[in-house]
Amino acid sequence: MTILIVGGGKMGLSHLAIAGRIAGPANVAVCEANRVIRFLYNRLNVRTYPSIAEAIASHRGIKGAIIATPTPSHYAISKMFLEQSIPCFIEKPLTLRSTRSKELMNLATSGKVYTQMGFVLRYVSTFSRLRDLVRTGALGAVRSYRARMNGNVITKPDTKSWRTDFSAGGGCLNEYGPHLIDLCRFIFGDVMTLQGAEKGHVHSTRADDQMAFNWIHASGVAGEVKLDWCDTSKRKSVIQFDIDFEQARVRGDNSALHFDFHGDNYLSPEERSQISEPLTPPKVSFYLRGEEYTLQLEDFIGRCMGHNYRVDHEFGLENGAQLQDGLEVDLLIESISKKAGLQ
Amino acid sequence: MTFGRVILGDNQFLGVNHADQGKASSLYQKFGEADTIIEVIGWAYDAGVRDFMFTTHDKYCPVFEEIIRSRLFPGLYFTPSLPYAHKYANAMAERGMIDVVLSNLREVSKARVIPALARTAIGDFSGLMKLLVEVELLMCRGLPVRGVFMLNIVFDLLLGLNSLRLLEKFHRFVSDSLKVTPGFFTMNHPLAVKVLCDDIGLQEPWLCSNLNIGGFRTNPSMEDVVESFACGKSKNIAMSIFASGALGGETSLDFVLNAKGVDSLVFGSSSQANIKTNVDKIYASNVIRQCPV
Repeated sequence: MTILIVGGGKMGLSHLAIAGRIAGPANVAVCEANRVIRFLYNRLNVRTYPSIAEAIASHRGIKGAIIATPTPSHYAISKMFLEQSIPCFIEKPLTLRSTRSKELMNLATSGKVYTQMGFVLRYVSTFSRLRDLVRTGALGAVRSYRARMNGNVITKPDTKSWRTDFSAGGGCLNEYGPHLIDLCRFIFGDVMTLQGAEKGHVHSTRADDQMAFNWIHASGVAGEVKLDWCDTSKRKSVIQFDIDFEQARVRGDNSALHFDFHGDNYLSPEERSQISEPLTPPKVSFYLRGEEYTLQLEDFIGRCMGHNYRVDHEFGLENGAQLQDGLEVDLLIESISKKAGLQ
Repeated sequence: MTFGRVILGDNQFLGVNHADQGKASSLYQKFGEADTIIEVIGWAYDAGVRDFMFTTHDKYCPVFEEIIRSRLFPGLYFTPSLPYAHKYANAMAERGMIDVVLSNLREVSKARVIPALARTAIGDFSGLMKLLVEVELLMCRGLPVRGVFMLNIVFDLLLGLNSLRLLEKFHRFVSDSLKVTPGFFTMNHPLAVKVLCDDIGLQEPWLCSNLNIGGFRTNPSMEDVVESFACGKSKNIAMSIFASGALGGETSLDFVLNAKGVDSLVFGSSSQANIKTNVDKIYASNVIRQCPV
């Protein structure tokens, strides 16, 4: 029984370490085309394969594939596994073309193959709590919200790397967009209408450094979203939500929620205290870089192996994203980029 | 050489706050100047703290230059924790892994780099690891160093990969060659004790790990971590003891002071009053044994 990690880069390495502790070191292997990287993994006693075909041929018992390669390769690699009815975990974004994303989704649906998208932030306790607040209506209906994702990724002009080339999957919208767009859908539901989108440039000329857009969800909630990967005031990327509920204004980021109850709110002091109680992150079987990275793989590998690897049996059991979510995000990115003049 | 009862940490200088990203961001900007960092270290020193544990961020170079030049804080010991992951992650994204490694090794003589790279080529990473540790420690030249700790982003990664040999070699290198105390940060205390003590066979390795009343980041469970601290196999530094201020200060400190197996406590603060209050309370407690320098 093997969980195969496709791509031995930074994300692949992280997934390997976590998956190895969840499924056991003997039950993980890496598929990587680069011979030098394969050699390094071998020296760490990790089984490697140079190609997916060879991995599948060698291991009839591949129970699941974690695809952590650059986005342009997601389509072809995922297709190979889905055609073999092997469950796939695919890093975000799904593909760079929504027609291909749709094809993959149809393949998974028709073959009844379990798939999961790497929208890892759904497993962050604060964002999961925001979704609960919206769904349960504990603070009344949502009037509107603002969402921001800021980071300090691009600090100088770069005309060579794919990261600053929109057509190759680079740029702020492609890099930050999938996370925040998926979170907006996760918390507030499907997006119905994209009203406007505007790009900004700081260092990059072939891609956007900033993107601002506003939309209306199917629920009628209006959202205003901004992305910026040239914010020098940030040490690492930070997501912030500012939501205006009927009963309170809630600010939330990756770490905590802050509640500012409206003067005329009808909640009892006990209810207010219960709602605003600080969150403690869920427990995980092995911590590497945030609970969310482990939780998503505990869920995926659990589905592949038919075993429950969770040590927290309550938090976000339904938070995993499906290929349908990946497709919806890809469609929105296409719409935003067209509206902003990137395509 | 062992650690004092209370250690000044540096999350506040790097803009790390687990409970408030806004506060984290403002701290990151506030501590952009060496003088503001030196002032806070001075408050801790005046309160009686004699250990400073820090990640090897470039922003400390002017801080340490000034401490050495002006002979500030006699008797204060320094414990670098490495590697500062964001420095490498950002550089690798811009320049690639090989260029980053080679540019760091330029600080070391070629006579030592070539054999280390040759050993790496046959799959022995220990020589390269030693050189990179030495490069990271260059910023500490002239300072009294108490220990060298491996940060959890690397230690827990190696735990995940089950790379026992590298962990053992790091421990031996810091202990035998650098002749200071080796240690490891971890977010998986029970697993770290099992791997380091039972699988590798280290005697009482130093671990720095979360312990707090709220159970913040105590994996796989708070009960397992409390038990693991108390088992006596490792020496332990408790961190995140206030869970970034998310819980009441006094109760949080009492919990850690009463827990078994806590040899030292590390905390960071940007408030002179908080530093003095907490240090006084820790020194007043008889629960943690006094560790002579």
